[in-house]
Amino acid sequence: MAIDLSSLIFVGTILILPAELFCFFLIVSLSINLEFGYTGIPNFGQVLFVASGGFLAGSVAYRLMVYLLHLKGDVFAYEAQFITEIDAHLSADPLEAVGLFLLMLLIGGSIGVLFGYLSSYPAIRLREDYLGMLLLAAGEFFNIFSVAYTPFLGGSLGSFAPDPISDLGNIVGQPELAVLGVLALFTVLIYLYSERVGRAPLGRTLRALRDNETATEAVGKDNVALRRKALLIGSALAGVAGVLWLSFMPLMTPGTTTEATFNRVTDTFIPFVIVIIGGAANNRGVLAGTFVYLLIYNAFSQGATFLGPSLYGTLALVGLDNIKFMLIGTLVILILLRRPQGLVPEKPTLTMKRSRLRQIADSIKGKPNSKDAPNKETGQKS
Amino acid sequence: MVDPILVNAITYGSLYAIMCVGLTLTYMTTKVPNFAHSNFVVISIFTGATAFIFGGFASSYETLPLAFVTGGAVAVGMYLLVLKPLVKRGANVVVLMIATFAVSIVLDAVVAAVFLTYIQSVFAKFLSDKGYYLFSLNQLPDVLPNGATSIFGLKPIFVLAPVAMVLVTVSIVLLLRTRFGIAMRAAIENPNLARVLGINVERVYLVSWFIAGALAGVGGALYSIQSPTPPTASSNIIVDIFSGVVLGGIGSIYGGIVGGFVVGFSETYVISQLTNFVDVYFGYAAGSYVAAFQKGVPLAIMIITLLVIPKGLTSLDWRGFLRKFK
Repeated sequence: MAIDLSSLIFVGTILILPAELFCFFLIVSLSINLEFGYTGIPNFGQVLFVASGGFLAGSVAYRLMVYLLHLKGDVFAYEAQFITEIDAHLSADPLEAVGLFLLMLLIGGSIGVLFGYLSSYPAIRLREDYLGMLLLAAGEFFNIFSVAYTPFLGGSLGSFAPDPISDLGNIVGQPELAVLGVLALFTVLIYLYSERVGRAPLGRTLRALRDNETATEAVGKDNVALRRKALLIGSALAGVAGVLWLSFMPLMTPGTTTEATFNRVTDTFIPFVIVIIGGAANNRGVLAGTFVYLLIYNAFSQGATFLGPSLYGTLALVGLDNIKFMLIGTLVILILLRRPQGLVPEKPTLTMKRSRLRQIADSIKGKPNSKDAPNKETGQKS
Repeated sequence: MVDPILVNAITYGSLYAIMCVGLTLTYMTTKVPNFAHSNFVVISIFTGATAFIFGGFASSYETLPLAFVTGGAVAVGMYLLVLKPLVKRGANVVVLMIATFAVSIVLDAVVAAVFLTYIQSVFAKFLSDKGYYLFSLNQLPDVLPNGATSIFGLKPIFVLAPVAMVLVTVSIVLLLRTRFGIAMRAAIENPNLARVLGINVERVYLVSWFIAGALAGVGGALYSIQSPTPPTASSNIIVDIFSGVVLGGIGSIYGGIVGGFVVGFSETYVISQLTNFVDVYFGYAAGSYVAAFQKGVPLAIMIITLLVIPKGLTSLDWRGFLRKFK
């Protein structure tokens, strides 16, 4: 059967944005999972880390390029012209584009670490409810500030960030695929890293700390340092996620309530939704949760096509996005009520195979010949 | 003449005080900081404003009872449908916080769907003829029901907001001394013991939630006369409410009033004075940048409170403090 190539390409372009969103939400949710799922820190201000990483990296990179290219004029008034020139320059110079992207990642990650360190000071001392209020208020303040302080991002109109990945992709004529590839690469790396952290002694200690603070302290763990470590890793990942977001949504508009920018809905609530749906302290659950969220997202963003114009017209009177958030909020409450463990429940980490453990046990007992023991699979003693 | 900045600051202080009382009440009963509290405020603002614009009321103060009932009804609904079942399941405080966060997102979406999208788009011409846009609501006119536009030479809201705060304080003081108030204090202090003594703890909690939501509604209705309401109002207001509650001490009703007043007052007063100061010394444009830091004041108050007196102002030994000066 022959496959129509043009229809394939059409499907591909429809799926590129959801795939990019999948990568972004997976990274942010993994960081929320590390903080809230593994360690029990209720970080209701994740938007602070994502937005500060993205906004600062974007605006610093933009000003740096304006300075390097000796462009004259107000950075906001001549923005469209400047961005075109910067993009043309970066497309011509791949090395500089790679350098700029690495610089942006560095800025985003270090801003995340910086704010993470600052917020770890209260996070290790306060009770959960005080901490939740403080982080939420801090996140809101950063958003309100980014809108009101016009020299930062040009106010509510926003400004563009340079887009080195797309410029690199322009060289081969596939900017969108380049962005998706880079995002996927980072997502896979961060997922593997989170999986490693979860299985490593650190992840297991964090879970013990979450379940019983006194017990970990009794066996000589430094609770304060552990919490700080989890928050630092989580917020660094969030800062990196903010920079990656700019590679497919380069317009930085602070303070709006839509999903096309950083706000408490996109960067705090949705990652929590994903972790709750999938199951906390469980990277596979986060993967499942992200998938479910993207299904809902796609159903609504493609809604106009499927519902037909008359039904869509009726629903558009109240806003399809509003219906989506009502549904998602209700879904979260229902899951908290009916299935608090999520789709993929948390499992104890198995560190070594049971047969290997038996071998070790036997060798300690002085029975080196354990390989001949029958019934090895079930692990029963012969 | 009275200093206008001072009057403005006192008004904002009174409004935030009225909103903060409710949050402390719900915190004391359910032991969770309610992230949706500012949404009670916003939903009441828009219900009241829509009723005012469409209902042909002479004065926006006439919609206060509607805001009172709306706020209370939403709060009761949230308690019955979400928090009570979760508490019954033995959910911990983080899960409860996530649930209130979810309710806050749902209520934001409801306001956006009903008022900002549906009513705004269906009655677009009617609204623009009257000069209102719900998606960025202007201040409602500050006119008393009898048509007067000033009390003692001041705008009515400048007088009525502090009066409302005093009324709320007095009625809470009185309420806590009635039979029901004693039952309420007992149910908050030790629910199990209160149950043993025959107090209907569930009913007490329900009434507390209604009072909390209703006060948020009244605060909101007055707020919409004092200040314009952007679509992001709920996330702006929550910063002040949390900060006021933390400053006052989250476990004390009077703390909520004091903290809310101090936060609202200092936010407005400090920023206005600082803007004037910068304007004089650095030129006009510099002053407008100062306003960007407005919500930084409550955040700073919150951080300092948590570092210096984590249990809030009401935890201090004020009587001992006064004795030292005698």
